[in-house]
Amino acid sequence: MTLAAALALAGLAPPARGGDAPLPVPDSTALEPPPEAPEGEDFEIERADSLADESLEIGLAATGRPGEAPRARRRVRYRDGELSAQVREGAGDPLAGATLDTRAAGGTLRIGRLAPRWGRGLVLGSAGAPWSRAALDRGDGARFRGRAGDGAWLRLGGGPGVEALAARFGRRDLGGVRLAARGASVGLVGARGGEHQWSLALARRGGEGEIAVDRSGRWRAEAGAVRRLGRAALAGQARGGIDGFRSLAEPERSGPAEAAAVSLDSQQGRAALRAIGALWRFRPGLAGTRGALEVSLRFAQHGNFALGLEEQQGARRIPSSARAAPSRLRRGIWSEWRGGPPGFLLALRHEAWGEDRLARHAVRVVSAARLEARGPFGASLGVAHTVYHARRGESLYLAEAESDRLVLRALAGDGERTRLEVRAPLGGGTSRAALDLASAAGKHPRLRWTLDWTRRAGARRSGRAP
Amino acid sequence: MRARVRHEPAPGAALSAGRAPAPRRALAPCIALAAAVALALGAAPTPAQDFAAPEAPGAAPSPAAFLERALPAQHPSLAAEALVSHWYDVPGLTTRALALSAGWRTLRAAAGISRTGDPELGWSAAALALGVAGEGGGGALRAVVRRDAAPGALAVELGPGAGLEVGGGAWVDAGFGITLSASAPQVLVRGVGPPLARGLEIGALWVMDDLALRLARVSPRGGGGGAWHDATLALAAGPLTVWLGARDQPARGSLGLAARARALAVAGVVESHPLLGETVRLSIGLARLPEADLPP
Repeated sequence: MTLAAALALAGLAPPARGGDAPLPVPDSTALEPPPEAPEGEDFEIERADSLADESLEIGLAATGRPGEAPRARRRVRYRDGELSAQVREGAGDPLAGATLDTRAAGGTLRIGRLAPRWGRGLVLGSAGAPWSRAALDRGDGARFRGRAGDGAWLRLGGGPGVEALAARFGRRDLGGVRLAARGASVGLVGARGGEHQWSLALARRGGEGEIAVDRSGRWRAEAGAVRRLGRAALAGQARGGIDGFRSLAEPERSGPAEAAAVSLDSQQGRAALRAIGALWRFRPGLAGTRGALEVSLRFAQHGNFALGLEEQQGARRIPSSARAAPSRLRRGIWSEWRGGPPGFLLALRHEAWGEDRLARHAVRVVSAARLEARGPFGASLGVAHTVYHARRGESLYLAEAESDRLVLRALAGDGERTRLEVRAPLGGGTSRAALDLASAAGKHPRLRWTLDWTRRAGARRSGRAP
Repeated sequence: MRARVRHEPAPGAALSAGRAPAPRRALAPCIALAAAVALALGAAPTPAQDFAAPEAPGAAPSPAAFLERALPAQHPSLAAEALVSHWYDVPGLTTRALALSAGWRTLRAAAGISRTGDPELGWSAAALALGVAGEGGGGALRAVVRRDAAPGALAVELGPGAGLEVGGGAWVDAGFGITLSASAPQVLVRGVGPPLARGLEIGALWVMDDLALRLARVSPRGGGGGAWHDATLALAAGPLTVWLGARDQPARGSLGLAARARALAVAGVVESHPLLGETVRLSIGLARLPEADLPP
């Protein structure tokens, strides 16, 4: 897509995917891992479901394949008015670790896994994707609990807000302080050796901006605004700066040096329109554009239908190797329908990406069907079948929702995947069992199983896991 | 018509791949037949196989159709169906099948047996489908076991010349006269590979009074290769229904006719292939239909 075309589309165009899109449904391919995740590998992230006050959650899980030793996972979460804590452990569990939130010095103290976000995220908590307004897994209110670092983070309220953190981000020990008052904030993050970055941010109703500067004078600035136009919400954001600026905390999420994106969300009765247009440049010779349009119709008794068109060109992230092939033009079209009588849901989805108009010369094609049937006492059965084709070099991720996490399963080549999920009450909690059968071209079918049991209990209230 | 390979035959895999060892004398006619069928199937995968019934869009699924696609009928009924298919003008390549179905409340079940080809080259199949269906939707599981007739059939884990396929399907009423369906008849395959590789089929049926339109897209099994698309338009006039169908890869057409008199139903369809000739499928059935499915 040319620059002019991107700008024209940007005039129409919010993220049909990514940043501000709704959570993906199971077996959806709408989510991609963040830039720091290795491409082509499974990615797991914690769901940010909240625990009621005065309650305790215990979870036991195991996963494995035939011929391999099962891998067990355990988790405990507790929350009351003053304290919130969770511990996860398990061999090979990427979410293993602990987090403690408690009141301290009139504010809140978090110890353990941290995912802070300052301002627009230029120094801490960037989305990474050039077209995203906010990260899905950074900052308060994010839909997933990410892991930017491990350490301690103190936040004091009152008149001027004060934040202080000391944590290990990647392989780097960092300390940071931030002062905020009346929507304005100034923050400093420093590392051993004297490296540091300043963040100056300003937030007002409907918009916010941030300027970040490092010790060498390299800077980056970003501003974003949202305006209501009748029933529509128009959002825009722009970024500029020096190519060499990298966040000390999360360098791989630094994103492009220059970017502009416009998005539109409009709800008209049962119809919704979502569109995005974005263009960006990481450095000279490494740029990209993206335009997407999604129309969805909601029928009161007959489900939802959505249709989307998208075009992408160029790099979506800084390639890991200098010899990486440049990203070519991709044109995609997808449609999705879901609905059914009460207790019985059928979801159908087809997605095709090609190098030419109408997704011809396909590089990626995915067809999926999912059936969910609900029974008494909270029991349910789900069956999903997905057929995919991904040309060499193309990434494809399939979202699998587990009780405490979302797994983006990396797929490649040609193949099929069938997933059977059973959920039933057990022992005062909820048990889930899942069986995955994956068949890839030229390989024997592979089976993977997962068992999970979760129970929530509390002194004042109790209930089943969501 | 069969791809004698273990587990995962490529879509439209040639019959010649991994042929079962057989006496040399028996091979000559078999090879000719095999080559014709392989060419036919390699160029033109057929959506159905052992229980391929002539189906008019909009009609209640017959017992054979239930077995073939795992899409159960909305209303319970006791039905029996006999069918015969002559494939691509190939002498001796004929499928004969018998299928029964029954329903009680929301439960649906069907069973059938099928025989294809001659005693030296053919195979036998038995199928079972179980599911549930109601006003707004239905779903089922199906399983087919096959066994080659050839004495020197390929020895596999399930026994000489034996194969198993398991799959499922579901449909829902999407409103406005539209019914959406998904059928994956070969989710699990064991032993000798099935005659045809059948991938995920997503279909939409739109019924407007006496007119019905069915559109379907079938993904290649295993993801590799091209999908094919199917469109069928049917017109009902009293007890008669006539339908026209079109498919791609390669482009071809079909013409079908069905008639019903009380509980008796007969149907036939002719499909013309640009290179391989015609396939003729005929069926006769008896069904105790509920009031909702009776023709006006």
